[in-house]
Amino acid sequence: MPTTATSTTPSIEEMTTFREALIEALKVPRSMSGQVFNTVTDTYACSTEEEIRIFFTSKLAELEEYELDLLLSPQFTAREDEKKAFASTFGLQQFSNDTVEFLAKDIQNEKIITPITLNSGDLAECLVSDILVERYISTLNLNKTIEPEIIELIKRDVPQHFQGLLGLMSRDGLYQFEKYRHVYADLIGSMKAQNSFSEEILTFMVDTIRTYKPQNLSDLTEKMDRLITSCTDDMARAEERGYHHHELKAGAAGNIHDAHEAIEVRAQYAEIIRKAKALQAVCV
Amino acid sequence: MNAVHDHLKQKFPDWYDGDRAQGVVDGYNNGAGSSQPADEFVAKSILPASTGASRDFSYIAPELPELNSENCVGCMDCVTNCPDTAILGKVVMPETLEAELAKIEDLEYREHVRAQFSETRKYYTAHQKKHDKDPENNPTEGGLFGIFIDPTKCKGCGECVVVCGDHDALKMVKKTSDNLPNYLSDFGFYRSLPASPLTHINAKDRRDIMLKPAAIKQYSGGAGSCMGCGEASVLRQVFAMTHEKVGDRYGIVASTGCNTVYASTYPYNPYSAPWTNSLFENGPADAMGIRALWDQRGNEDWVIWNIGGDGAMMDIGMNALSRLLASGMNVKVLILDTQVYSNTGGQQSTASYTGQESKMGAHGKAHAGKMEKRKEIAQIAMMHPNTYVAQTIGSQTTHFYKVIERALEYKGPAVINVFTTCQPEHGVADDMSATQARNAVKSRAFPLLIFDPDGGPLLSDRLSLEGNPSPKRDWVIEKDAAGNETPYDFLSWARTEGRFRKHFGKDGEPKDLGILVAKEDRLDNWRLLQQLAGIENEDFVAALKASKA
Repeated sequence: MPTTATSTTPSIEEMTTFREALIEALKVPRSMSGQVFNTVTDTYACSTEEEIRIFFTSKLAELEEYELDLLLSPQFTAREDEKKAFASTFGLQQFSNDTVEFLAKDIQNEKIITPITLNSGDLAECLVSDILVERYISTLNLNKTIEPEIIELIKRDVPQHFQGLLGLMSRDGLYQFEKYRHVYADLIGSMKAQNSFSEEILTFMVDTIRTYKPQNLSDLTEKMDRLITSCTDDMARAEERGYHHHELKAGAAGNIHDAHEAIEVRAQYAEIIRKAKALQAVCV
Repeated sequence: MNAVHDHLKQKFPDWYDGDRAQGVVDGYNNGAGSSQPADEFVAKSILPASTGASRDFSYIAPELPELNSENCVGCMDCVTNCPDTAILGKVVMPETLEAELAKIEDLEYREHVRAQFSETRKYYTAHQKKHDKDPENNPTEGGLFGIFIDPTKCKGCGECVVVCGDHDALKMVKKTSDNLPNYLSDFGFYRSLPASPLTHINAKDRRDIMLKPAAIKQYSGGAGSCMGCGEASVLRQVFAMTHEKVGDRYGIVASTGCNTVYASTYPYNPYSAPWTNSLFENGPADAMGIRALWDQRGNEDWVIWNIGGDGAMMDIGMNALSRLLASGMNVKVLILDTQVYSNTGGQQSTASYTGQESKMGAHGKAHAGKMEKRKEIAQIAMMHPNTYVAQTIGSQTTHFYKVIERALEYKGPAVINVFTTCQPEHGVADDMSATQARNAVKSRAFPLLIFDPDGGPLLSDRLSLEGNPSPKRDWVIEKDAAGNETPYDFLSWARTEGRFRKHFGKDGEPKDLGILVAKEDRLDNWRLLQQLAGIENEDFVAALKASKA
């Protein structure tokens, strides 16, 4: 497969590297997550440590593909740190669905066995089937479409050490529409002029375009004003949690996790406000 | 507008003024509730059915869930665990979707809607592969799956995101006046689609019941329950399954408690089935009367549910419950066990745990929270003649639906006691209903059990502890890769709940005897159940041997 200056199609060497990186990532030992444990104990009625061990070692092959997907996809969903690691090398490349399917079959021939540590401490050897490979790759986002104009822009204007990650994050059907490419380009242009690139602001920018769909920079500024207002209002209301018992209310913000208690809400929304203002500053 | 009519217009009896019902609901939605003319329904203490469907909560949620459809596997956990009927799934055939999308003129919006659907293995690949291989015997092709949020029902608890977990298909985003309209439009599109095809509703996976419009409508949302209420998601599941089994042939008697208050804040009623609110103490007696009348009329196959909290069923109305169970009448009892009087301000009940902080069980110098032990209604109910009994949790879906189905089939009284998280009284986060319930089971605070009188001649034939992890052990032992063992005991769970907070120091270690007594009580209860179920406890046997040696 030829690679030109603007092409995002990986070369054979890059495909090989990608394949090897995938195999390494899939081989990484995992601990059975609570979510998987719940499915095994509830859906498959495995209660004892022995039943769970037998299930993992000899029953997985009997499951239909969709059942395997429901059960094990949480363990083979790429985490943020894994996405970043792949993004640094492959973030600007395009792996088509056909490529992913081919790779999945090819990797399955390797008969990768991934050790999963069960709650009992036993190790279960899990054969990584093609559907789990496909799941992992698809959650890396690398097979999503990235618009050529976006790639050009990133390569031209974004510092190299952010390019891969931004390339990964910018795979969104929204950018097939010119107005969003314009917003994106304007923001990148402005960040370049201000020399204000950071992973945080780039991530917030991409998330903001997806969620709030600004039509242009002026619209984005106004939408960030409304986001700030919304956060500010909710911070003011954050104390009004309906604990009936004052002792519980007093203690809730201490050692008890509570996503809607005042301290956490204020901290979370203060962060959003800070980022929204930073993005507005880019719009200027 | 007209959600009430849409839902139920075919079923309005002659005396029921549907237009008036809609007028009242619209008045309240528009802030003009108090200027409504005197209402015939109120005069008769009647709330029209499913009016909750018209309630607009879009001013409440600070955040709304956002879907990344490509990560979604169609597990339906988010839909099942939502307490507000605010997140719904849909399977649609590709050609149907394309036809509907073609009606959207705005290309950008069309693509946005298209992106809400994905080819999951469960609904697409599993069918398509079989079809491709043998189309004659497998005429059904793959269906696309999408998740949609009703922003008029979502309170922003985030439970859906937690149960989605590592699938990473949902996250909460800040709601503003800019993204709210998109949710409304998306949900409008969802409503415009035909019902999910029955061919794609997986009979093996009971979570798929919630793909059926009739099942969803049994509890329409719009109830005044707290964000993330553990009771509401359980009620949704119970009545979805009830409708699955008997259609509309059921009714509800609700004993006073949270469930009656949030389900009857005038003029909003989330139920489509007829229901009546009785007092704390006489719900079972009320249900017996209705049962007797229906039986007299030849409607023996109709189902009557009596629902109530632990206060109603274990304290104030326990004698009525016992009378009902002794009668052998075919009444199903659902106990929403929050271990506290949630509705009246958090007083302790006999279901409260030892050491639990509550009103009338305050934690201070003289008393370290509740001093008594918890009453076990399941064991008491088991000793009534021919009574089916189960303890379960909504988030352990297979177990939950299994016991509800069996209770409905059982010819006689059935008691289903369900642990339901109460965020304000347990001191846990709004998105923790499913997690805390699961961990209550894991910690032996609330063991799962099924007692089926038809199970066999022995007590141990009838009592099953299936669904509890490590059923032969005292506690669930967790080992890490290095082989270090950590028991997940009652304390492990208690330290995650505000109601036990004062028993623990900043280092998380217990600082008084009260919580240790609670731990022993839970172990005693668990060992008793093991004995009754005929399960030999390996730890107990080992300890016994060691003490004799």
